[in-house]
Amino acid sequence: MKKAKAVILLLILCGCSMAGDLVVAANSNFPVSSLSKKMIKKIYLDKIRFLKGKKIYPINMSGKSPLRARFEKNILNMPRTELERYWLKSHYMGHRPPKVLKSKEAVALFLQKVDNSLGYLDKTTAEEFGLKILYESDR
Amino acid sequence: MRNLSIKTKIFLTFVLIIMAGYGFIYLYILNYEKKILLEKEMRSLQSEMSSDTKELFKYIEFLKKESSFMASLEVMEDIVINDIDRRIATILRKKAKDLGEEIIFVARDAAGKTVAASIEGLEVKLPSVTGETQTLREYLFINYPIKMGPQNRTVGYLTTIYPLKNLSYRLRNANGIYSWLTSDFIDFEPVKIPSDTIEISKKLPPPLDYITLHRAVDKSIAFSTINHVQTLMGIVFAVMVALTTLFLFFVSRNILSPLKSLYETADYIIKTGDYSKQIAVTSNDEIGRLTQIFNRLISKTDESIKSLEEKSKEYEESLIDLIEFFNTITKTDSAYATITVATRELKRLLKTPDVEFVEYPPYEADYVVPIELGKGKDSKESRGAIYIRSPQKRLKDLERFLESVSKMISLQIERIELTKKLEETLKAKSSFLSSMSHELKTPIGSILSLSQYLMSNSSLGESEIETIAKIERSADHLLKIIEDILTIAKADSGTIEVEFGKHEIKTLTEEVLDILNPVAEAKGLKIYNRVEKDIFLNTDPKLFKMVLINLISNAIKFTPKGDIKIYSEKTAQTLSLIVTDEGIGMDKEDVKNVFEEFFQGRNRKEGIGLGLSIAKKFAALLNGELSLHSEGIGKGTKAIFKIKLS
Amino acid sequence: MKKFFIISLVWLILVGRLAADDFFKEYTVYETPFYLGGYLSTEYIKGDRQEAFLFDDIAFLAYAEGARWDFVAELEAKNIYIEQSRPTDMQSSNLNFSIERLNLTYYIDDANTIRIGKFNTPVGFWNLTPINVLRETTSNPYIIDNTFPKLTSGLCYRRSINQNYDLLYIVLQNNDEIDSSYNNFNIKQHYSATLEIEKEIIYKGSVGYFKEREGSNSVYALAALRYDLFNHTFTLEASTRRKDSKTVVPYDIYFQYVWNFAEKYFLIGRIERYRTEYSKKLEEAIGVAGLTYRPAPNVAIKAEYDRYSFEKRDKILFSFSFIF
Repeated sequence: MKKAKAVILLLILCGCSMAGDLVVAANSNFPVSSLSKKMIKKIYLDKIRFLKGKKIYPINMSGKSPLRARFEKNILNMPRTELERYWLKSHYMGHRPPKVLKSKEAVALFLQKVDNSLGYLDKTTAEEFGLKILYESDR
Repeated sequence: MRNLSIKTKIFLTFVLIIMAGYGFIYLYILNYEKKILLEKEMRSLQSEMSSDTKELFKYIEFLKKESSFMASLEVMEDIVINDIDRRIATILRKKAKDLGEEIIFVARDAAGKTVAASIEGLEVKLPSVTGETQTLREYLFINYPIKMGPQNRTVGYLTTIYPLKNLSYRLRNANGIYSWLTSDFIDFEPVKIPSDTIEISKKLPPPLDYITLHRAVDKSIAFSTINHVQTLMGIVFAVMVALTTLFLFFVSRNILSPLKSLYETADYIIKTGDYSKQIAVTSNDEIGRLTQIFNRLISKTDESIKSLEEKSKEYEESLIDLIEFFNTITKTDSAYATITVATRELKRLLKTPDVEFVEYPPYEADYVVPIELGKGKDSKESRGAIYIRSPQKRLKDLERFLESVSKMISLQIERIELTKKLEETLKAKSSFLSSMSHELKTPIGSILSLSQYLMSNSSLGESEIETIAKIERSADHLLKIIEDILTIAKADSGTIEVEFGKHEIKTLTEEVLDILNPVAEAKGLKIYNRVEKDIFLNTDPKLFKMVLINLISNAIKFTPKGDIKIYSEKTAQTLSLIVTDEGIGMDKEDVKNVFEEFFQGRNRKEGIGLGLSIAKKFAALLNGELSLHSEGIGKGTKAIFKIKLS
Repeated sequence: MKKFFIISLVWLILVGRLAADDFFKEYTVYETPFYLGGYLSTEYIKGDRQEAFLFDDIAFLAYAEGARWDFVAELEAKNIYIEQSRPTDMQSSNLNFSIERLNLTYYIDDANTIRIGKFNTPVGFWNLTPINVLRETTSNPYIIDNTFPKLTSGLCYRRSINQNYDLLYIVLQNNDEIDSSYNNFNIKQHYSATLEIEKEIIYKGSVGYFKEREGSNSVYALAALRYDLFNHTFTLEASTRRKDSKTVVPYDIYFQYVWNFAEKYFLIGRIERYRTEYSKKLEEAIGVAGLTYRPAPNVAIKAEYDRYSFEKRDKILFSFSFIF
C-alpha cells in the first residue's frame, strides 16, 4: 500500500517537473529547420560543429537544472558521470564543453539574440520568446 | 727649546702632526662634503621619485590587467542577454570587494547602456567609450571590450572606475622621507611634513599630467651621516693620541741609542760579572748624566765585591780544615791511632808544634782537650788529655771547637772498643752452639736409630713399644731443636749460602702447601691460597719456603679450629705475604718478644721457641722482615712477611 | 606502497576541491582563449617478476579554439620516478619532457577537416584515450603496442561521408617524427585509412602501412566495435600485422566489458589473446579484472589483477591518476 502511494507521488512530481514538452530551439536565422535526436546528440558531443557552413553553438544549462537532467536522459542517453568523463576526454583532445547558462529565461534570451545558437527549453518558454523549434520530444 | 726633554720634544711633534691632519679633514668634511651630500640627497630624491612614479603606474597596469582578465571571462557573454541571471553583477561585486579602494566595475552593452555594476545606484557619469584608459578629473576609467564566441564579436564593454585620490596609498612615508600628491581637481589626503626639509616636485606623465608628485626629506636625517662622521673623528683622534703615546714608548726604548748602550753594558756586566767596563759619555742631556752615575755605580760595586771575595776565601779554608780534621778521626780503628791522628791534625790546624797527648794529667797548657769515656751517666773513665800551647791560628770560638774535638775523640774510642767486644762475644756464642750441637747430634742419632730398630722388633709387647715410641719422639724432638740451634748459629756467623733467582711466588706457596696440607687436613683445618698469580721475586726459594713453612706451621699449630688464609699485598717497593689464622692468638705483651730466641708464649706448650727466631733471620737474609699481629688471646694471629723489591 | 598511498592522499586533498558540479569551470582558473591543463599518474605494481612503484606520467596541455580552427600542444614526461625492488633493486628518475602532441586542425566546411602536426593515430578506440585517468584500466591491451604506430607526425584528413556523419580518416606521414621519444615504432612513413560507422554500435575498421627508420615495412589491419548501453560498455578490437612479408602478429584480439554498477564505481573485465612471431613464437592470453573508483570525474583510483596464460607475469596493479 505504502509502495503504491510512493509511486503515485513520484508520478505526480514527475508530471510537475515536466510541465511542458522538452524542445530544442533556436532563432529564426538557424541554418536548418529541424534536427534529428541523433544529430542533436552529435552536436552536443561536439562531433558536429558546422551546419550549412555555419558554426553552431549548443547551450547547456547548469548542473542542477531539471531540464538538463531530462535532456541528458532522453536525448543524450548518457549518465551524468559518463558525460563528465566525456568532457574530460574532450579537454584532453583540446575542446571545450558547451556554454552554460543558468536560467531558462537566459537560454531563451540568448537563443533569441545570438544567431546559430541552439538550446533545449520547455516548449512554453520557447514559444514565449518566439523561437524556432528544431526538435520536439515524442512524448 | 734646548731645555726640553727628548720625550717631550717627540711627543709634541707627533701631537702637532695629528692635530694638523685632523683639523684639515674636519674642515674638509664640514665644508666640501656637506655640499656633496646635498647634491647626493637631491639625486637620490629624484631617483626615488621616479621609482614612486613607476609604482603608481605599475598599479594602473595592474588594474588594467585585472580589467582585461575580467572582460575576457566567459560569463561576460551574458551581456548579450542583459545579465538576466545576474552572473556578471555577482562577479563584478566580488572582484570590487577583493580589490577594495572604492573601485567600481561597470559592464555596458554594445550600445553603451549599463547592464551590470559592482554597486547599486551608480553616481559617476561615464564617459563614452573612446580608448582603453582615460582620466576625467578625480577618476581613472579603464575600458575593455567584451567579446563573444570564436568570431570575437564585440558585445559590450567592461569599465573599471578608479578614484585617483586613492593613489596616495601607493606612496610610502617613513624614516623622515615623505611623498605626496597634489592636484587642482583631487582632494588627496594631506601629509604632515616637518618645516626643515629638502623638497622636489614633478608633474606625472599623462594621463595623470594634472597631478604633481612631491618628495621631501627631513634635513636632520639627510645630514645625519655628517654628524656620524664628526663623532667618528672624535673617536679617531682619541685613538691617535693613545697610539702616539704607545709609539713614543717604543721610540724611547729602541731608537735612542745612548740609552741602548747603557742597557747593553748593564746586560754585559750582569752576564759576565766584569765590573771594570765603563761607558763613554757622549752628551750632556739627562742620558749623559745618567751614564756618569751609572759608571760611578759600577766602580763602587766592583770594589765591594773584591773585598767580599777575600773574606770569604779565608772562611772557606778554615771550614775545609775542620771537615778534614773530623773526617780523618772517624777513619781510625784503634784508640791509639785516634789520639795520634788527633794530635797531628790539631798541630796542623792550629799551626803550632806544641800539641801533646799526656796520659796522666795535670800538665800546664793554654788549652786542654780531655779524653773521657762515659761508662754510665755519672762515672767517667779518663784516658788522659791533649794539651795545646800557643796556637798560631786563632779560630773563632776556639774553646767550643776544642770541646767538640774532645767529645769526638772520646766517642770514637768508645765506639772502637765496643765493636771489638761485640765481635768477640758473638764468635764465642756461635762456636759454642755449633760445637755443642755437633756433640749432641751424634748420641741422639744413636738413640733414634736404636729405638727405631727396637720398634721394628715384633717380639716386644705393646706397652713396651709405646715406651720406646715415647723415647723416639723425644729424641726426634731434641734433634730438631739442635738442628734449629745449628741453623741459628750458622745464620749468625754468616755461613748460610743464599742463592737468589727469579721465582713465581704463587708456585712457591703452592709447594709449601703441598707439604703442609696433610697436617692441616689431619687437624680438620682448611688452608686457602689467595696469593696473586704471576708475581716474580728475586729470592732464594729454599729459604723463602722455610720462612713460609714456619709461619704456616705455626698457624696450624695454634689453630684448633677454623681457616688459614695466605694472601699477598704488593706495593711499589714491597711485597707482603700474609698468613692469617683463626687460632688462639697472642697476648699483646707476647707479641713484642716473640722473635727472641727461646721465647715461648705464656700459653704455648710445644717447641722451644726457636722457629720464629730462625724465620726472622732467614727473612733478613732475603731482604725481608717478619712481624706478628694479634688482637689478643683467642682472636687469631696475623703474620706478615714483608720483602723489599730491589 | 607507502609512498603510493602518501602521494595519493596528497593528491586527493589537492583535487578534492575540484569536484564541483560544473567542474571544468573550477580549474580553468584563467578563462583566457588559451586553456591550460595537465594530468598525472602513479602506479604500484606487484607481480611474479616485478614489484615497483612508479610516478609514471606527468603532462601539461595547452589548447585554443577558434571558429574554424583549433590547436593542441602537450608536453609529457614518462617514468618520472621509479622505485623498484624486483626483479632488480633500482631507483631512477627522469624529468625530460617531450612533445607528445602538437597539432593544428582546420575545419574546411561542414564535412571536411584537416589536421597537421603530431597527433594520436585515429585507429581503434583505445588509442584515442591513451592516458591513465581516462582509460578503463591501468594496464593497456597489447594490441596498441603490437599493431600500429600510436602517434603520427603528419597530416590527418577527416571527412563525414553521409547524412549519418559517418567518418573517414586518412593519415599521411612521409617525414621524420616530431619527437620519437614515446612512440612505439620509430617511423618515417605512415599511411592509413579508417572508416568509422556509428549505429547502435560504433564500428571502426583500419588498414595501414608504415615504414620504420631502420628500413622495415609493415602493413596492418584493425577492426573494432563499441557498444554503449546506459551503464554498460562493450569493446572489441582485433588486429593483425605483417612485417617484411612475414606475419609477425598473426592475430591480437581483446574484448572488454565495463559495468558502471554504482555511482563512481566501475567493474572491468577484459580478455586478450595474441600471437607474435618475431624471433620467437609467443602465444599469450591475458585475463584482466579491475575495479575503478572515480571520486570525482577527473580522478581515478584503480586496482586490477592481470593473469597470464604463458608468461609468468601475473600481477596486481594499483594506480592513482587525475587530470586538471
